[in-house]
Amino acid sequence: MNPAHRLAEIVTALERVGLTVLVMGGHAVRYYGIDRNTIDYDLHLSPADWDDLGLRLDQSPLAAGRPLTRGPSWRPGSFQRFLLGRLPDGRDEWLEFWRNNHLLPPFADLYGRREEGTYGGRPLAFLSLPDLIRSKETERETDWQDIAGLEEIHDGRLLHQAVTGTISVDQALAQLRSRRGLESFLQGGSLNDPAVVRQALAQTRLSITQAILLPSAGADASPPTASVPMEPVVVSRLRTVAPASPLHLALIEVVRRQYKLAMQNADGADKQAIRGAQTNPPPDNPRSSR
Amino acid sequence: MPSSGSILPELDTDPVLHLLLTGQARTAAEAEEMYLNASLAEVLRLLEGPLSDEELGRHPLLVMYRRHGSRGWEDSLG
Repeated sequence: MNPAHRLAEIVTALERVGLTVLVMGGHAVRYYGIDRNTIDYDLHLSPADWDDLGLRLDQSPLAAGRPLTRGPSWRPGSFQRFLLGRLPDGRDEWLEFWRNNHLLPPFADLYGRREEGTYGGRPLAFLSLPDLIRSKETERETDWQDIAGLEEIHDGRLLHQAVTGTISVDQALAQLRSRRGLESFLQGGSLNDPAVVRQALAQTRLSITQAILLPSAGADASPPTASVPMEPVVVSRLRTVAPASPLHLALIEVVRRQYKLAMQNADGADKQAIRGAQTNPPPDNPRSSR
Repeated sequence: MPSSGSILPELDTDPVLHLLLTGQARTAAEAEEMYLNASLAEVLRLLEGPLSDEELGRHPLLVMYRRHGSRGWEDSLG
């Protein structure tokens, strides 16, 4: 059985015991169009299903009459993993659940903007593409490699949606992240009207998108404060540089790298804090003697 | 940091080569990534300097940022 069909089989088994999930991780990356290998099953679970997750899994067809082995988790309140068995090549087959991911909004928001599509022979619910990209802004370099591909795919979708009128041009521009996206929208004339570009600029706090749009927004354009602010001298130059010129493209990458480093540092600090709390629990914690 | 009086003068002038030959990076790509991660201050210095947009666009550091960044459509022809 190939991994996609195996995931579909797993989700079917989960639904039989009333569990609601969104697919994330490697299988979501594959669904959106990047060919890569993955042997884990990463799912975001509805919080309502969290407390008796283990019990329900043990009652599901996945357990085959014996309780599933719980794996280690250094975020036990947010993340659980269960050993399904062994793959033909001897590697472990893990099923992993997030209750709340530190990079993402609540499940209800994620579920409300999910994407449903056929995968492994049946319809499955996936994290939306923007949410999947956000979920991968971690300290791991491989996640950023996925992001690079996913950004291009998302920008391609945005172009199609803008051309067909599904979304407005400014809404599409407000989500751009890739160089190919910039070049496509520029070639299509979507960056020719500074008023439209300023409307887009007003909708985004992502520095990468702001760096993409600023040269086309007019010299007096003033974007909202970015979540990872750009250096003032970079912003000044972006206001005057020619769109998609070699310098513009280079400055986008300077800003992108600054954003990536900030996200990697934030994720690393978050993990350090959790590990530190587990190593040195507060003195008034009644379980600190464990 | 570059050492003075190196046997290889390039060690003092090429930060990427320095990272490689001192063992801080295992590959040229890794060395360039490390160099770019540490070069924001240099970029700001260049932007505040006298170079024109065209000259900045051709500067080796900014060329390296483009080369290590998001792909352009012409990359698909390679």
